[in-house]
Amino acid sequence: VLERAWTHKKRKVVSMGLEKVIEKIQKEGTEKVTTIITDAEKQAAQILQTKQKTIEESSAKKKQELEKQIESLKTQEASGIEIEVKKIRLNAEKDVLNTTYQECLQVLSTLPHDKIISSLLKIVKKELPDAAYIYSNKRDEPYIRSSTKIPFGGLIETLGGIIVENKEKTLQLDYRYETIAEIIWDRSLKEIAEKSIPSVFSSKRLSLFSSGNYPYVCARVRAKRAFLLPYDTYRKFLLMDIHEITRFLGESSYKKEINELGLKATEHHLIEFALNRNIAAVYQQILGYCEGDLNTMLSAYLQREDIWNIKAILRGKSYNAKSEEILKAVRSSGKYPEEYWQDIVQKSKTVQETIELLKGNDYYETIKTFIQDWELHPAECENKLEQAYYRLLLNSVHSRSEPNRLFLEFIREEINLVNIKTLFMTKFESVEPDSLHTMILPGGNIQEKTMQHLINAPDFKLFLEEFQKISEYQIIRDTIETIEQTGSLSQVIRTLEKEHLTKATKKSYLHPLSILPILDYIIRKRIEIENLRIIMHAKEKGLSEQVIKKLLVI
Amino acid sequence: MAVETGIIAIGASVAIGTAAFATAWAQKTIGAAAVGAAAENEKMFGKGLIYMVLPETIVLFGLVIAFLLWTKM
Repeated sequence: VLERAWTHKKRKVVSMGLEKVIEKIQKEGTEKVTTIITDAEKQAAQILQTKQKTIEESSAKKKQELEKQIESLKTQEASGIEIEVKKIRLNAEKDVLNTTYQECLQVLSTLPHDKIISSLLKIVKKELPDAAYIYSNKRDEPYIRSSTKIPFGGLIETLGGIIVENKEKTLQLDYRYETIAEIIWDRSLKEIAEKSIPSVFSSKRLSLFSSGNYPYVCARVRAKRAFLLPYDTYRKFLLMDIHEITRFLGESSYKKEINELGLKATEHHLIEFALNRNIAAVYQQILGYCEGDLNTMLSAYLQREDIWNIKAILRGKSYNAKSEEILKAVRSSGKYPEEYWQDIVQKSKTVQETIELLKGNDYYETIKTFIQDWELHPAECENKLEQAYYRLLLNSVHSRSEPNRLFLEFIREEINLVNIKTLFMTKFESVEPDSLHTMILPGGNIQEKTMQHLINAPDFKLFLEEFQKISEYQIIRDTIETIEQTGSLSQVIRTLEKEHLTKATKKSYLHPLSILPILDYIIRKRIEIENLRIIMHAKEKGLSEQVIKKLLVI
Repeated sequence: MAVETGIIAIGASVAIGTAAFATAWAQKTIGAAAVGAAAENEKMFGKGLIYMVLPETIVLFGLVIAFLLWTKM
């Protein structure tokens, strides 16, 4: 019995221990499950929170993007309407001006011709003493025959006036009423416009002084000038390869553009794009903080970039170049933004389509006049575009205030430089004088008579002799020998460009609070970009250091 | 006597008035230029500040003249 009782007790103790263990295990298990569930809940909540945050962020981002898109669409629409309004206004102005011009011609044809002819003959005697032929219309023929010894050369169709030529017929003086009226028209288009359309210009007429924040812009531009690449850097570049130059530029003022485009473009294109983008950003920034007349003058000056774009797009379209290729050459540093040009390039396939899309552009009317000739004579059309640019530029500025006068003077000097460069290059290549007339820009300081002599010089040697008579000869006097020595004009061209730059700098010091320091910076920046472009292209083509050095404007 | 005092007072006011106007004009121009330069290069701020204070001398001269006139009253 005792033994049985003992065994029972023993069993009871064992079963009690087991229950406790099971209970403990169960308890621990439950605790663990609870912890796991709590953790899982916590994690789930956290994930949900993060996802919620991401959704909120992305929706905010999308909202912002949409707002931006809406805003840009609004701006585009607004600018489109603005352009349309401007176009209508310009057309109306043009009509008024054309009517005025026709009325002027009518008045001219009613003037006492004998008196005018006799005064023209006096001028001819002074300007062209060796005149051998004289031409006029039928009405004036008897009077001319009776009042001058110059042999009558023949009849011409004109309202009045005369044309005289020398014996070799190399020099011609055109004193027809239409030509004189045209010259006066070009020179005083602004004044005529003011008289014909007073409402448009009345606000400007009131301002005797040119408005603009000159101290702010000049100081800012001077500070900017300190960041331009110093001359020594170009020498260093000559010793570097393209990768090293890219790396160097990536640490200079081009850092932002190079970093932005680093992943999108290959090394050669990278620099090209970065330079284009940088110059556009700099010009737009300067324009952004210019006010009043200063802004008007600068934006008129920077429209040269728009001319460049029009030429590049038309050229590209006539050769069926790809849109991407054309866009590489487009600069957005002018009046119109990058999107405007992108739109034109992508939407048009032919030259005609491009021109249709250019409707509303300041140069649309000019382009329309020569577009038929584009396919046959693209170079001539480009010259016309360039001439239109300078004509509009000169007409857009009054010469009343000092800054405006300085600006006009600067533009005229620039026109001189371009004309001299054209003359040198064409004469050197023995281009016919007839085709040269279309290449010369209007509005320069060189006298009409001198210009005619230069244009009509039969060969390069005689051209140089004529050129010695004008003041610009002093600039290139020392380099003229290099033409014969090297058989190239590059030295002369560089000297002329350098002189223009030096002159601009000198004048900017003489007039520190005028438009000149700003123009000086703009030119310097452009030359820096051009120099960098030359270096990159020359390195790519494997040109020697000496050759590259000669190509640079330093 | 009253007329003389009046004229002296007008003289003093013209002296300080014109000097203050000239200072304001000079400081406006220099201030704008200094801000422009500092926007491009922060190191220019100190220099700009010094240049900006210089026209203060003009108004001080005006003040001295006005004070001398005032003592004559």
